[in-house]
Amino acid sequence: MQIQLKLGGELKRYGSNGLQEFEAEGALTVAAVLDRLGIGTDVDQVLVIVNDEIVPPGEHAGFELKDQDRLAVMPQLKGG
Amino acid sequence: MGWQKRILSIDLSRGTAESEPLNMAWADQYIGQRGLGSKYLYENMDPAADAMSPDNVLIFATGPLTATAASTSARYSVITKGALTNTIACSNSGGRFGAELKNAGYDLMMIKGRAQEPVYIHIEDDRVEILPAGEIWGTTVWQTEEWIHKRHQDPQIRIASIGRAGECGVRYACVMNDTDRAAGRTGVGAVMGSKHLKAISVRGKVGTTVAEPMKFLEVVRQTNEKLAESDGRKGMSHNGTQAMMESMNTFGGLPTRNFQDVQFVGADRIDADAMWQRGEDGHRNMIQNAACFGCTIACQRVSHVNPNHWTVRDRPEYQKAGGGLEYETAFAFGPMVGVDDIDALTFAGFLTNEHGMDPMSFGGTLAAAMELYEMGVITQADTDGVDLKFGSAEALCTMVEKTGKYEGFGQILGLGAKRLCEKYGHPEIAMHVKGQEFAGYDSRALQGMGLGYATGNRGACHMKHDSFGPDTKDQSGNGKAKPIRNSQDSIAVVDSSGLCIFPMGVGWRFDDYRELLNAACGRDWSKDDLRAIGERIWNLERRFNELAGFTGADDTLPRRLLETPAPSGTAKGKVCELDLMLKEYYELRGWNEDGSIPDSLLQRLEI
Repeated sequence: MQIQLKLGGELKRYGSNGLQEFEAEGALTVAAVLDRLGIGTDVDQVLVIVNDEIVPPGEHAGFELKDQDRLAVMPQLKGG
Repeated sequence: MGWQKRILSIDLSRGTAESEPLNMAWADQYIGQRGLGSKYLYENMDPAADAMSPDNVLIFATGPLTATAASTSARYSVITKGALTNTIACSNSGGRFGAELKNAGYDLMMIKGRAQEPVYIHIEDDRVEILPAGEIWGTTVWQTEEWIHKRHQDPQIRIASIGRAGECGVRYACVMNDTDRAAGRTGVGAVMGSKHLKAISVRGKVGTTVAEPMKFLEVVRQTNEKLAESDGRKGMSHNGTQAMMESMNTFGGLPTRNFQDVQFVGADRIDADAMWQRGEDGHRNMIQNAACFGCTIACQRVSHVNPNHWTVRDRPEYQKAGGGLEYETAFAFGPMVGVDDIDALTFAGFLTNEHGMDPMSFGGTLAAAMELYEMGVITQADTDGVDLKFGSAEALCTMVEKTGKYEGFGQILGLGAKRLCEKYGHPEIAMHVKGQEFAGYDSRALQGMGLGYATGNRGACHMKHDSFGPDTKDQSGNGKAKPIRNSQDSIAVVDSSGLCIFPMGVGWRFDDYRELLNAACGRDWSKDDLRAIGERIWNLERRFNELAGFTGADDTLPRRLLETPAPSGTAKGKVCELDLMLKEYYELRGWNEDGSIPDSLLQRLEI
């Protein structure tokens, strides 16, 4: 399975150039991706969007990604 | 302690300046800065007075934490009746000016009347002079600062001033300080210009003290540590507020071409990464970050335009480092008008700083004019021959300069979007609340933001509430009223403290502000005490607006946000569910169904 991963803002340091292909064998949840990237410690500080749909922190563990999904992980919006 | 317990009262009509004791009963009820300034305004003018008349009062207010050792202690507010909105106006700025005013021994400066001829106010502690400014009337903010520094031979004087835009009554003119910091919103600069007041220069040597120094320093140490360790703070130092460009575009809440779209194809050419990226010729937009007085975040951008770019190639005076793009400026000069040329955006930002204009309102107004132009309502006969189409960097830069200098079609753009669209018979094209243009967040994607905009006491404003957490968890209107009400009250306290709101998102909580305030002021305010103060401030502002003629009918949004679904992004197909949120919000506030404040509430809050 392959997903398109986009990391935004300061989260780019968790992956090369912020935009990458992410490959995995078998089922993969949002929480598992965040964990593999090393982002998983404070999920309230990130905003997860899959194919233009928000995945709230409470659903990260149960949200299974599908092949060719577009996953964006951005810093939580703060304004300014 | 914390407070200087002294205010400066200036009457420009009479040419008098007097020091008076601070009303400490009001200080306990309203703290300082936004809250206390609003109380002084409320008690010293008729809210129904014309904003541009001598009857309007202009207040510069610091907070008890301004100029202290606390991080972000640079803040001061300009409070008046806004020229853009006719609502109460409270516009907040950083830099160095506010701390200097506090260090000169004043919590607040209240300016009444109108001078016969242009003047500036010069303050050196107890010595306050009202001096002629005829020589600098008509000059830019940057020229004014240079002239005053030379005149008084003191580079440490801090200056707040207006440019030509403020002198000529551009409705969204700013009060600028320290070259590129701005009390930017609601047209406070136009009010200053209407008083024939060009500048205020301050040199303060009195200093600032706190009630419990050792306790205060310990809280400062702890709160500084939180900021130092916070990932959010590190991101803010590196990218500034510009980090929002990429996030909002991905999210689908980035107002584009006057809110006709919510995502912008060129966003990656003007975002934080683009600012840091070196071009093929080796030029990089971003030079470094910078900080306001006492700040340990340093979100400010210092940038320069590529010297080979058409905007500055023949204008060496702009080939220098200056205040760079922050998110709201980048949004207003970028997606909102469809431009993705980072050098043009940076140059336009320099011009708004130089002439003293709010880039957000300018961008919102230009976007409305561009839409009217594309509809055929405005033609090149109106625009001095400029092809005012969306996406034109040339149109953007030309019109910023024309508006700043109050020339040609720039005079029409200086009206703001509401008045401009009314003039051309299409009020529905103006994207505003209570006359003020929006920030860079679309309320079809961020529902709570829509409620915050609609109920904003100074019109469409993103800085007086915080809804990002709830808005990104659920994109319906359900459950948004309570976090908006609570954050409006909390932020009213932060805005009254003398500190910046930014630490709140990157490591601090409300309690950190509370502990700093208690140690500085020698008080024992609980969270509930402070939230009650916030509620009082919010309702006082609302009451001022009621007396100025505003009603619940003004708590609304443009039809485009209420009826036209978002075309893409996470909120594709959604509109803002304002009616649902507003009903619940009024109930939580204890207001009447029509949005008016009941007398019983005014009595309970001692307003």
